Amino acid sequence: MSRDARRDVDAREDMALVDRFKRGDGAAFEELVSRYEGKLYNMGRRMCGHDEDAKEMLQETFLAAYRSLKDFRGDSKFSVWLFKVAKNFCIKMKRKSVYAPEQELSLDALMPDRIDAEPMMRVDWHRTPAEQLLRKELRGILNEAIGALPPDYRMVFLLRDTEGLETAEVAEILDISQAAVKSRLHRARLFLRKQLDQYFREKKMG
Amino acid sequence: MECGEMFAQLSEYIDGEADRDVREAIETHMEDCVRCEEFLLSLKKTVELARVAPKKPLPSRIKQALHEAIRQCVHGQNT
Repeated sequence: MSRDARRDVDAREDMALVDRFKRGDGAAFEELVSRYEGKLYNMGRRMCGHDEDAKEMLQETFLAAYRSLKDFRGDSKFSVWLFKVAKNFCIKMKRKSVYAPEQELSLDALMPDRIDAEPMMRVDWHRTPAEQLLRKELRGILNEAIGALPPDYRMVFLLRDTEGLETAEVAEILDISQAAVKSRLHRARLFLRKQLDQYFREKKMG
Repeated sequence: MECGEMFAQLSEYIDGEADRDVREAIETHMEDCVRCEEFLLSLKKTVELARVAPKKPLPSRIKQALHEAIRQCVHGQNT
């Protein structure tokens, strides 16, 4: 099954559970929780920085969803609606925590002086992702780099590239334009590429 | 299309969201610019790495606490 087909099936199954919940079936809500708890936990952990905040975000999100699901009309997918609730708690927790001030990732800073002057590390970049991920060290570098992304960029990157949501869905969740989603995603990817490239260079030098 | 102009649109190209004329201009550029082709490859690999990276499983203590809170809520509403 293609990724798009899988997403359509998931969305239909979600709506069937929402309908059951609205008819008074509490177990349907627990099933919705089971379907999304892992996704929201990973987003919360990456956005909040540690498990305790992720735990609080997870509980607050699902409890808020429980209270307001009866009013959910299905104009958006359930997943988009739920991520939006979770995003609001992430922002609330961000205000409570000692977050670094928002940073901008400049395209110029992420662009090599001249693309055609930057030698690529062919050996490492040409390995398959599965081969590369066998290397624990590389996974650690990737995780650190994701954690180092400014929060606005990290959120877009997690929703688009980690969770696989569409540009329009991420724009709806974050209340920003699709152009802004694309711009932040591109900068986030370039930032991560730069960190990985640096790692490959150091490996080659060492 | 110059290297710098192309650089700004590579993610849209990777995601299949670039307009047809932009897509064609990038592909024409790639035929003659090995360095840009390699840069694009490295950006694609970065995206693939992020997509296939294993996610941390939800710790059982957090899962238990969550389901307990949900059950209390469901039970409270039904009584």
